[in-house]
Amino acid sequence: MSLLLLTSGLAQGMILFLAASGLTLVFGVMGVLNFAHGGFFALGAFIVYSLTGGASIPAWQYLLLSVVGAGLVGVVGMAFEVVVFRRIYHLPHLDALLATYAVLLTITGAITQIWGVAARGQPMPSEFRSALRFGDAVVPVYDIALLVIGGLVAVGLWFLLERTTFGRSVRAISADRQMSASLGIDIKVVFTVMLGLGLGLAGLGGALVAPLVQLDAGLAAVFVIQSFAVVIVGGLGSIAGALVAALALGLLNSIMVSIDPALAGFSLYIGMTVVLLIRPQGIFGHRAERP
Amino acid sequence: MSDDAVRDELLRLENVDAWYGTAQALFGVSLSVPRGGVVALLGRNGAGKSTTLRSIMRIEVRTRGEISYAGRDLTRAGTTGVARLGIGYVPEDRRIFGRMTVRENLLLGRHLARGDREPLPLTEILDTFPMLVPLLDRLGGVLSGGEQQLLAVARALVGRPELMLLDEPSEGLAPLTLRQVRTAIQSAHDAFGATVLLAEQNATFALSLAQRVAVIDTGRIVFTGATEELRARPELMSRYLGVESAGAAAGTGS
Amino acid sequence: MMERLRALPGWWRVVAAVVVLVAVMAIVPIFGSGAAVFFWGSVAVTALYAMSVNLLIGVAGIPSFGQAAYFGIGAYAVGVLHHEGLPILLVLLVAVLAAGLAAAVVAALGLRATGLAFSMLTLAFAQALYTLVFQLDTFGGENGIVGLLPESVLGIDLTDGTSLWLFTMTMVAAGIGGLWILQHSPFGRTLMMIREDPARTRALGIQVRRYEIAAFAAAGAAAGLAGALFAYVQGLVVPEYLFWTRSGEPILMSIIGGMRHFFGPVVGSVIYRWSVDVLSDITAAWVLWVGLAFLVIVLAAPGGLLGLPAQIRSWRSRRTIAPPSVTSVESLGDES
Repeated sequence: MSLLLLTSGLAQGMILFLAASGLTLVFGVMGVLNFAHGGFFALGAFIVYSLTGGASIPAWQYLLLSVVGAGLVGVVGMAFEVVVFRRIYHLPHLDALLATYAVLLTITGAITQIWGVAARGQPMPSEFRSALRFGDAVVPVYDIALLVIGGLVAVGLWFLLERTTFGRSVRAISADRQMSASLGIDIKVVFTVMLGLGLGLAGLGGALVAPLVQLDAGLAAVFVIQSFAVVIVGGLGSIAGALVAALALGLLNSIMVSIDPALAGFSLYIGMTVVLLIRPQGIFGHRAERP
Repeated sequence: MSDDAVRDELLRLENVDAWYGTAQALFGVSLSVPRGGVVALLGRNGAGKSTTLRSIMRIEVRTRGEISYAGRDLTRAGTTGVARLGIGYVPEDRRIFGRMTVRENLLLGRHLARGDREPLPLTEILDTFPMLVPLLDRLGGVLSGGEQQLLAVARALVGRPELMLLDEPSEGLAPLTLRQVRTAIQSAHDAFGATVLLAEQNATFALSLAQRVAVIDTGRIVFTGATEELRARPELMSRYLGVESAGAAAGTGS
Repeated sequence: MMERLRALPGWWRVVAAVVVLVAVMAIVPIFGSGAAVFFWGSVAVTALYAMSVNLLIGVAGIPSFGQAAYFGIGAYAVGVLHHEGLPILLVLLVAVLAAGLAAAVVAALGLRATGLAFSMLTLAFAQALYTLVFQLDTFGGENGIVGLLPESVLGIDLTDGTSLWLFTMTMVAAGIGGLWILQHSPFGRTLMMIREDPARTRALGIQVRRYEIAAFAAAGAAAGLAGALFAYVQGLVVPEYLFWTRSGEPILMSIIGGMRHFFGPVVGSVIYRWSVDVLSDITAAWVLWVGLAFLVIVLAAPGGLLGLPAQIRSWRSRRTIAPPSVTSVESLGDES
């Protein structure tokens, strides 16, 4: 396998991870598979487009604005939790799924309302457009940047969940909501923050994908399903699973495309189908421990 | 009851009905727990002991009637809010976090502490529960039932609760572990000054700890009084608790 | 209106439905423009599609999220076969069989997974199909296949709008009639039993999985018929027919109309398509309003429009005795 194939596959995987990490985080805690996640992903892309004014700006500014954009998306996400999401946790799976689907439609429509129907294009910062040479191999700088950012996000999430008091509360709630409340953990606050965090991560993913795709409202529907594939393969609720699945699917996709471009995107859904048939709880998934 | 006792009432249930969905589980339950006391709520399986504790904790049941703690109405609060008033809850099935270590389980108890109630340092808890020290880095899920029970009591104590609700802590325990759990509850009361409401099926176990007793049957309180009064009524013991006589009860168990 | 209909004996309801059908078939071309005939033709097909989805979700309680696959298979069957010069009825038959067979295979393989996992499986299959069709030149790639103009059926000319409308409505009525018979047969009643209590149904010695596979196949076949008719009405097939949002739409329509009512999806699709038609004239961001309306319905009136009378009755009769429970605990992954 060539180095280019490897890095572009892994970079694609990191985008998938950024899109999916928040989704799996939210599912792990609230138990709701959130279609609206894709809407916030698209929102991140459009907000960054507005922050940069659609202009080509230096790479460090772009990264900074991406983080700012992600923060804004996170704030919108928290508002959304308080107004809508809170009302759907207790619904049966299908109803919850449909309610979040309704929110996805709403956000898609809101994006059209704000940014119009015509597709936009976000120029890639010029530093990211160059490539590094390793012997014969050429690797785009942006691919490397994505790998670094994805890695940082993964480590950051691990630290947050495993090494902080907040993370401990989150793990407790996802294992046993009732007992956590009985111990005095404020579930409402944790939920609001988690949704803000999860959707903020979606926003970050959208912001970083913006220079690579055409920006239109359809982005939401496309990326949410790809994120679904990742979290299903990795195991619902598992961050490590999402990371491994995203990288594996990204790599698989880039290999399959190198064999035949007609297979683009196909591996995602084949991977999802195969995992659901063989191991429905996903690679890293486990059955709930709660009685 | 004297005026003094009323003023020192920490927890009070007055004419409480409770439902799971549409099924009514409690009928006009009244109960009073004095500050600093140990009260046992005795009854058979399904008599309504757990439901009473769940009504206090606002877990999964709908209630009508008065439930107040230190003069505050609990029926308008959520589970988190009730807990943060300083009520430590040890549920029936212990509910230890199986994928977390014993240490993490203990640390989770700190959320209960609010305002002037500082959480207990782990060292202090471990002095009382020395048997947990070698287990600190084990996962909660691999502990034995007795170890889990001790951990559950310790976890509830970390947040310095003023009131402890214990739901059948004796259930399924071997005599030796039972004694440890009894000591743990005793020290929760004596050393940490917690008021205790103990729901139990095991009359011997509960009566050895409690000063006052309420007996519940099919969702109704059928007796309240001092421990000695119940001991003097063997017909109640046998009818509602399946204990043949007070003398026989005293002879079994510990 | 519906209440009164329900009180009638079964055969009267059938007669009433036929009368309504014939009236609609006559009124639309008499009073409507060519564009209106075209529009209502596609609405009728959509209604059949929504009904096929509701057979799964509303009747049998099987949460399919990938019904676009079978709609698309039906449509692409027409796309591939149309230019072969086969009679239309034969093409439709092939479309129905292909979609039904594909659905049966997916259900047979996938029904080991339940609940959310099964929803995701149906979704994955549909998306896999979508990406393939989108990429493969055999199926016209992203441009799809155009020029699917039906010429005649059984010697009747179909080249003008009105005759195509009458043909479409006849086929839609046949499809809906088939679903009605299915749903009111012992088979349909068994499906409802499975929805209400799968474990008990199993305990009665009923092979639940076989019934579910059969229901999935029937729904797939009906979706296939809808897809094939849609291809003829639109005159083209495009990969978008298979995209996952096309699986969401019929669920949305069923919810709007009412999933527990046979004609709920019909009511829902008429309202949905009509309001989209009106809204999209006013704003390009019509999805915003559809999404908000749908959200309100899911949260406030999960029984849909036809379920409203019952919901209001239950509001009136139920006296709340106490504040609702504080914590409701949802199990996370116990069914996957």
